[in-house]
Amino acid sequence: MIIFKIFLLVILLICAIAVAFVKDNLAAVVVYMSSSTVMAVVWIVLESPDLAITEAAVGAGVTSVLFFVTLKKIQMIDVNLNTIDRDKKEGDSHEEK
Amino acid sequence: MEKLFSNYMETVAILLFAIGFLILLFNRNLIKKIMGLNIMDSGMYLLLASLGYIDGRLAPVGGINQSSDPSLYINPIPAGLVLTGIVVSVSVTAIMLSLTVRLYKRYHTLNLDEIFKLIHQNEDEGN
Amino acid sequence: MDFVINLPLFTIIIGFVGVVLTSFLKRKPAKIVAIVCQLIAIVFGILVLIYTLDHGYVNYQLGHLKAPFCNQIRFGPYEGLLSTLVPLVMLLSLFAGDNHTHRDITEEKEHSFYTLLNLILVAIVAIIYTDDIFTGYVFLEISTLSSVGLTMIKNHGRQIAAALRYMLFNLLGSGLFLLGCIIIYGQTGYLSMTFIQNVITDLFNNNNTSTLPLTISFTLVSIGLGIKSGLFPFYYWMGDTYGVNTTTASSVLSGLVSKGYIILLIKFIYRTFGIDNVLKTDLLNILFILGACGMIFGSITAIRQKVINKMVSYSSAAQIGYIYLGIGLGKVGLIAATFHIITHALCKPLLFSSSNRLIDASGKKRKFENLIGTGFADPIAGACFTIGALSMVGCPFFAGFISKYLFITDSFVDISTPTLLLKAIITIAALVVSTLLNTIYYLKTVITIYSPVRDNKVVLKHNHYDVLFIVSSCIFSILIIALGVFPSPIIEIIEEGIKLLG
Repeated sequence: MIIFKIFLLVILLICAIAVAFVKDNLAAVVVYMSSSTVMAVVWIVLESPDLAITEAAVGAGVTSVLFFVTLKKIQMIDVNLNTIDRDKKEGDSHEEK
Repeated sequence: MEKLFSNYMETVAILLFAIGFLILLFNRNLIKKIMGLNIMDSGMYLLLASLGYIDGRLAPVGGINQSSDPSLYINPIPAGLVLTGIVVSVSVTAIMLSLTVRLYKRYHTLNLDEIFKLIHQNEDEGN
Repeated sequence: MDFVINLPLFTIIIGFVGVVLTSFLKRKPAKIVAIVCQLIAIVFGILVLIYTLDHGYVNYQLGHLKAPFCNQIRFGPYEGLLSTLVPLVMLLSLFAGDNHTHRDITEEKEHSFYTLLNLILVAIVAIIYTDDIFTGYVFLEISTLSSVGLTMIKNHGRQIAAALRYMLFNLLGSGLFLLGCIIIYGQTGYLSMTFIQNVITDLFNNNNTSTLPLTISFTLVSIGLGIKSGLFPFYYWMGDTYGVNTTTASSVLSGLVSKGYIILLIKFIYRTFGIDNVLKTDLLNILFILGACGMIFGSITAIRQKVINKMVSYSSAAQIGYIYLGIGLGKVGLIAATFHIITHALCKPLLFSSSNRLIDASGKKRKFENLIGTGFADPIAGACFTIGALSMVGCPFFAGFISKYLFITDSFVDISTPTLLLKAIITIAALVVSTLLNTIYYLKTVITIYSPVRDNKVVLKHNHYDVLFIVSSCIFSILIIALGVFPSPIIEIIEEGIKLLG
């Protein structure tokens, strides 16, 4: 059981560090969504089922949908789920570490 | 040093807080800043909930034949505090994302430093 | 008159009802609802103040069980005085900025403006009355969200960037504050302030336990609340947030919201930790030094501004430094700090509203060279700006003079140890330097607005008379001069309240 907990926490840390280093906005949102899902499993291991339900609905559901809607409104993704990198077209890159 | 490993939950919570804080401060992209804020909040909720966990006991959910002996269950108060925190975090994320959309439509960049440079340029020319 | 002890809870409930009503009414009914809520809050605050002056403090439980199993509210004369001040200042700023609100905000959105104002009122009144650290956190977040809403309601690009920066700083501060609260809960196991204080006193008196976690949590709480209220060196968001807003919003944000955070910090020091325990950790000295630096560097930043709005907002940073200086002096300095909270809450809205009217008179130009002679175009706004400026500088017969006098006398009450003597000398030095710097930029502005116009090409508009602005600025000026000439009743109420605070 302890090994399972430590495994989950290590995945959580790796996802958090990956959010900082991924250059693409869409990929960063997907990594953030997966870290929310792992967090929901951690809540179950800590014996709080109400927190797990809330985290799954809110973190992996509502917040990630809000991020996708934002990226769509600023036209960084089109309907085929390809990322349009508008800033790279204009010549300067805004995605930095 | 052994205490850091025996309380591994709290250690990971503080590490998540630190990672989120650094993303918030040093990344120039607004979307990444908002994600860093959320990770920082997740770290704090993990710290709070791990204060209430007692090894070997069950979740505080009762049924028809469950006993109401308090020594069988974990401490339920920190879970309530975390629920409040998660709700606050969601509303804050929603407001910041709407501000980001408005700023992008006006200035066509996601970099906060460049936005302020453009604003000060406009102010010095006009007004 | 035992019905009076229910009134704090009724203030909060009526505020919430006002919030719900204004969210779907149109512009004029929403304004009437907001004004009615604030008038009711003023009346209830006065009744609570009179009652607690006779009967001492009251513990009011909010459920069937006693604390620590249920929430409770605790109030005395200190809370009564502050909860009278907050709706009064908010009502008067609403009147003073009425014209600009109609002009700056579109008609469909104006009812949301009154919703946000009511939310701020509810949040600050709840922070003043609370006796529970997590309730304090929840209402802190409510006031953060509504103040960001006030900043972004005007749909300019400049506003939105200022709102985003303000929100990022505020959330940083909230995060640190929550971390401090979590550590306190982990160490003591209680969320109610009275019980936490007993456990912390036992932990400090027991020599076997280390008090390092409590020191860390107090540092986190102070730095978190300091970032939110504008302590040095975290005040650089003030120019953009207060300077480009509409009149009512800047007055309420600078006059009331930052004071709400400082009042929560005072409650943490005196009710949760206990002043004796905090004095054992030497952490008040750090707040003292940061306050003294803020006084000087805030004024230096204000001198370098070329636009009148930003100058007035950076001088807020200097005044917040005064209040932290008073908190850092311990129990004796708290009287001066509270009196300065009242003075600043009365002067800043007056300064913001009159400087915005002067900008109108110069044809919407904000730089100093365009404001020459506007004092003659709009005589009432010029006179009010002069009264506010003289009070901030510390002229006798105005309220600012009394607060500076209180700072000096309070710092010299107890000079038994070398540390206290050094603190008293630093207080006087910082006050002298800061008064000189304040005089430089305030009196320069007063001279600018009253010098005659020499350039024939400049045309100044004469503003039409605005009844609400005249009424509210007269009431502000009368209160400032009355506090300057007869300060004794308020000082006695503050002293009585501080005795019952901890």
